[in-house]
Amino acid sequence: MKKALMVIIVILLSFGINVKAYTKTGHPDISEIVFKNKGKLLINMTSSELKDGYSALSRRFWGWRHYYMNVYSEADYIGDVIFARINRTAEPIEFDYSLKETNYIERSIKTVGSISGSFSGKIKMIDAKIQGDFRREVTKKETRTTIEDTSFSVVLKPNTRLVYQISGEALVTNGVSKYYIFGITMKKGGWEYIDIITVYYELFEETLQ
Amino acid sequence: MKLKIILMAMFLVSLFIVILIAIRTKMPATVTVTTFPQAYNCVGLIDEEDSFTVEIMVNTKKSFIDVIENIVDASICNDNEFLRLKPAEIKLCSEPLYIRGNKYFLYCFVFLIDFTPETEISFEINPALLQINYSSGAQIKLNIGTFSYYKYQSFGSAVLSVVKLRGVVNDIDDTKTLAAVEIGLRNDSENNLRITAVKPLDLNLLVSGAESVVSEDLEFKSADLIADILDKPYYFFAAGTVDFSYRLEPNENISFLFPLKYHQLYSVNKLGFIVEYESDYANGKLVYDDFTFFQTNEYSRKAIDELVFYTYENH
Repeated sequence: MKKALMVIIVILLSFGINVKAYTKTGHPDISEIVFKNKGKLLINMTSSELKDGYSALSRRFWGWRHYYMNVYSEADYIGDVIFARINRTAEPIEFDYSLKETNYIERSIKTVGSISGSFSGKIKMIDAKIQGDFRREVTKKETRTTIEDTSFSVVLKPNTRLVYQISGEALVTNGVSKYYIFGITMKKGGWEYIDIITVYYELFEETLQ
Repeated sequence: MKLKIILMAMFLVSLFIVILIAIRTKMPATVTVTTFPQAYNCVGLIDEEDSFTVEIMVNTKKSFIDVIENIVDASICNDNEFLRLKPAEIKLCSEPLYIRGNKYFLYCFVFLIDFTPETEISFEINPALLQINYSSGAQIKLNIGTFSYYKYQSFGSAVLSVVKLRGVVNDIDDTKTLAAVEIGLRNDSENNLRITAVKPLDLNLLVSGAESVVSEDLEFKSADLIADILDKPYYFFAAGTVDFSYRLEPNENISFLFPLKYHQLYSVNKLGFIVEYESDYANGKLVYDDFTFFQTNEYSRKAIDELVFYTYENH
């Protein structure tokens, strides 16, 4: 049994299986998405919804065809807990928190199907086309490093937990695509990108049961 | 004959490469820079060195602007005030931005504040111009908005703790900025404390004490409109009453929503503050280090329309 397990692990490793943290959204840094109006994440789409998307794509001789399901659908998201500290002792704990430099994720990309891997580069072209078509009245940073001191001192009372968390607003765009060569479908799959627009930081203490 | 052809081909290829390198490394004659003016603020301890970052957009990667070794000195100043800075780091901090169809590279200029007072002090510069002098003799001078700088002996308090911090962020005249701050306070002492004032540490802001409310039972999100949360019209620029009074029992823990009034509108996304209190024994204050309440990745059309572009000869 152990040998069989080892063989399976070796096979999985040899195929380069990428193990990532599971989230309800399918995006590792975004634990929850709530659409403000209507919208649906790729992870929640049924196979028939995806099939309808593929059916909407007309055949072409060569190159990509894209079908959009959500375009810049506004949503609220809950992101990472930056840190949480628990005091289970009988004495208050004083500690200092300091964060010097942060790399923020501005765009989270997910792909499924046979387009995975190489498709991330295509997302930029899709977004440029959509931006042209929809003419959003904004200019957006796509990646960012913030060099900023974030520091605070906290006295944590016994049986309390201090949480420093981010949430925010995002735009969700997703769809399905096919790649044709001589009119034959060579690749097809679903894709989704979530643009983080605003990040809100919250610090709060809560009493433990 | 064959050898001649090969040599000729090699010469042409080499010439092509040299021309290509010359074109690619050629410095443009001028360089254009711009920045979004905002409310910069910084709170620090007297014995600590502080830094702050200005994001400057530059239309080329080949210029004297972003080479730290070229900088002779830097300052924030206006006609009356002057604060010396030490350049600490310059780095690209985003993919290129497209503004009015033109490509700009976003550089983070990190400066150390070269100022070591021995007593608590506030330094408010309005308007704030960032002036950088380069070894070539070139000088750039950008309006970065306002700059508020505060130095204190210590942060925190032995009798009062901050147990919650959250911002309410609204678009005021197309400027995304703090509309209110929610602050949770806990009395860690054995005596009653009377909270008498909450003062934001930025020259553009004050707390509207009269419109502040206990927020324990309010359900709201950071993006909700302050008028909707308070359930009444709210005016950001009207004169407000700063007076605030609340008696905090020993070990009591309570959160307040403090709406903000603006003297002038600049985007404020981080803020330190002071909570002043009285007890039976003495008056005191809690100083809280600047806290980042939000960050945004979008610039509004209005902010872009109001950008001032500065063009310099590229030495």
